Amino acid sequence: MFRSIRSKVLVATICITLVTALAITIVFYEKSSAMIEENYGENLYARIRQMGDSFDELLKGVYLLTAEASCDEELLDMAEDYLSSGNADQLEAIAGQLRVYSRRYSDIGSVYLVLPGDGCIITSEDYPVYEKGIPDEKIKQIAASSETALEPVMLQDPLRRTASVLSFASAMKNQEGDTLAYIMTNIEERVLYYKYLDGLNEGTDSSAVILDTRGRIVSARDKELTGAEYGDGSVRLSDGVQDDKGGSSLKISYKSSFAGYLFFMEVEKRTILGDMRQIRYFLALILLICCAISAVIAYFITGAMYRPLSRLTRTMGQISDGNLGQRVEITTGDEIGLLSKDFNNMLEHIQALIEQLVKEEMLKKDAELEALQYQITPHFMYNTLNSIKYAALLKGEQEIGGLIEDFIELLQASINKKGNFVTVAEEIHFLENYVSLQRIRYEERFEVEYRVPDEAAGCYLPRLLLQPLVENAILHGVDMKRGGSCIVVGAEVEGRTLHLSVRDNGRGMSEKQIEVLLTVPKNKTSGLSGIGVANVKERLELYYGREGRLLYTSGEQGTTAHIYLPAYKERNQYEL
Amino acid sequence: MYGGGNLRKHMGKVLLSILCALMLSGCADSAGQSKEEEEYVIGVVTKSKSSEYWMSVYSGMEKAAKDYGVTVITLSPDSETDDSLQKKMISDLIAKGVDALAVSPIQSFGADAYLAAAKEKGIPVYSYDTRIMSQDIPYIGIDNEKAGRGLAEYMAEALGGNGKVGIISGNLEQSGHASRVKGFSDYIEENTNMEVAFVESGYSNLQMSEKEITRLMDEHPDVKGIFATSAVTALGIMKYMEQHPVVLVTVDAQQDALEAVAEGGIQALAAQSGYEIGYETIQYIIEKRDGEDLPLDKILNVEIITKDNVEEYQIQN
Repeated sequence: MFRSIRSKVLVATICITLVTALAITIVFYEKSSAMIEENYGENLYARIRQMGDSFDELLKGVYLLTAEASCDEELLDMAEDYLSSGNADQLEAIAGQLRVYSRRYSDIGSVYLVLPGDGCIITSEDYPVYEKGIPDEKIKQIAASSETALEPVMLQDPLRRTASVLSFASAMKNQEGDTLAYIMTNIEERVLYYKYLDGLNEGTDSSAVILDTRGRIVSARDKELTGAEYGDGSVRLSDGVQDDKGGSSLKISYKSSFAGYLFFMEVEKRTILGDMRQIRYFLALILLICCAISAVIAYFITGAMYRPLSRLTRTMGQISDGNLGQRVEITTGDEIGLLSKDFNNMLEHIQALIEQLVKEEMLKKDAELEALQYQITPHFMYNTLNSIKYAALLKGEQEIGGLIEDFIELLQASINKKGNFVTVAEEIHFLENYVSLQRIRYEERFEVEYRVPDEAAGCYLPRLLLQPLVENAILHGVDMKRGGSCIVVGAEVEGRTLHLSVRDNGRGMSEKQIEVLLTVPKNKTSGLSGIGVANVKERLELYYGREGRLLYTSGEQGTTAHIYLPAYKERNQYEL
Repeated sequence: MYGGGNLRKHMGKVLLSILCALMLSGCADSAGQSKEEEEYVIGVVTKSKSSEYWMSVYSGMEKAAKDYGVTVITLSPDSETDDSLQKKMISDLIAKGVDALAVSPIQSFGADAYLAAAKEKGIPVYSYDTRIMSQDIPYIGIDNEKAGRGLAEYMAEALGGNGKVGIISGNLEQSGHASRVKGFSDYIEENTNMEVAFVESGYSNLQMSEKEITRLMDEHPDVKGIFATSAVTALGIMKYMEQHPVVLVTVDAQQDALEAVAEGGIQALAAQSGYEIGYETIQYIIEKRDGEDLPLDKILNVEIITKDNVEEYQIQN
């Protein structure tokens, strides 16, 4: 599937686009979610700080109130009076005074005056106005917390078991510096929660807590948690927004300056980033669109890039199928254009080389043919014979002169360099010369008949093609001891083939004799006769390839040699 | 493949740079936001919280605390007479274990109890605005005696060096008021023919009633000038002096007093800037904490403001 360069480039482009777009998207998403987280954190921190500050303000005010009440001389007088006289009316009066204090802040649940000696607590509340028989340990607790009057403590309300309160306690001392009583100002934990924490929890699934300086819970959504250690104690008493990398939550804390209490809340990032989900889809969509667009663009660009390449590939395929004339069309100036151009040049070069090779091969064949011809047309023989002919004529030997004339003509034909091809008629004429010579030699003991229709007479054939066959027929086919030997030389056009035949009515030849006859002897210098037939066969093959054939058929009636070659009327068609 | 190696190298580079970008963006915001440092807590006790002067002191301290990164816990009794409450606050702060304590004492004397307690816990104590009359306790504030002398000088000039003047002072157990009275009286005695007709004390932000003023003026009808050691008192007196035009001089550059100077109700004002005292106090404590060698007292400039330079002063501050 990814075999073509085009698909590779396409895939690569899409991959790069995808990776880049993905990277950008991820970075953008991470950045914006970090920013949202940060803003959210800061926002929440501002809220928590506001709450913390007003809480601190309250604590400070309540401390001051407690301190003031503990220095209230009127209260001191009343307490002293009660302690000395035991007058219960004074308790009512003290309660009245405490009510005045408790009304100063709406957040104050109650103000108590604790008389440690009596185990008596006088309250600012309508009921009970006072209560006696408070257990010693409670009193001790209050006394202990008055040691650090600036720091509020978490207590169970000494009068109401169920309520936990945040209390300031301060010792009330007489002129001599002895502690007569304690003033205790209580803020109910639930008041703190609803006033300062509930608002922070709004809209988030977080739960804000107030922790004291030792990391214990002062107030939380679940009131049962009051006084417990928060979490695993790992909450550091630090100030600000804590974003643990990789953590799933944002921790926001604010430390109030006066009491040193910590407002702490942990918000799940999941809830903060709820709105980001939409953006995520949006980004995914943009990513998809980006990729789609880039895929389309890449498709067209690679298409344009690939076109010349595919053209080159196609042309190369055609050439490898043998169509060497094909050339690549060059449309671009890039590497592919250069490649195509070089390829075309290479083809030109190869063609030139092939032509040269063919030409050389032809010359070689020509030379070979020439050499073959020379074997049967020794030149000097012709010259010598001419001298003999004239010598005979001078002596008045007309017959011998005629014979030699014929022989010369024969030789002339065989060494005629002008054209290797002759018409059948010319070949027959040459044959007639040869036959008349042979008839003299064999005392006219055989006849030669020519059956050449006009149609065949005009056809061309390589010269001296028939002579060796006739020679062979005379040598092997004619029984010289008995008369009536006849050789028939035939030529006819059979369709596009010229069929030449030389038939004798002699003894016939064995298969082996024919084979020997058609085999080219290794030593080519063995004379005029022996090689002739093989030479004919060889020449036919050289000129016509498979179209030129020489066959021998032999039987009781004699032997026939058949030559098949293309019939043609132009001299040069098969010229090498 | 033609140029395949190059392509691969480029791809590698591109991927690498993308990775780098991702990592950088990851690192950029990993710097923590929370501060984790041992807090330095300075407990501050003022004399009062209701007047503008004290609010400006508080403002100066807050600014300095922010500048130096320390925490200031300020406790203020309702009025300058609440000595026992102030002492209670001081001892509560000591019990809390603050790192340093700055006090403007309602009583300059009798600080021994809490000084001992602070020493036991190793808490350094500083006095500001008003001196704690004990050795080794640093003081940050104006030279009150000098302020008194400066005002006396102005008074003498205004009255031509003759006549009787009266002094209405805050609690003389506070060194500040005492020093102002001393400086004023000394100058009058040493340099002029004038006479201090009365020294009435016990008023600071508790204003004098009309009855008392009338009584005083009836007793001393020839008084030509009055020195009130605090601006709040002076502003109170000012209302009742319309039928008795006297030269009124006082201390503390609070806004209503400055307006009174501009309008002529008060003739001269020894300006002590609450903001400056507040800021300098915290700065002094921090410098001491950091081991700097400082003189025991940090005396701040005091400026005598009259109608002539009141506008200039207001612009400056």
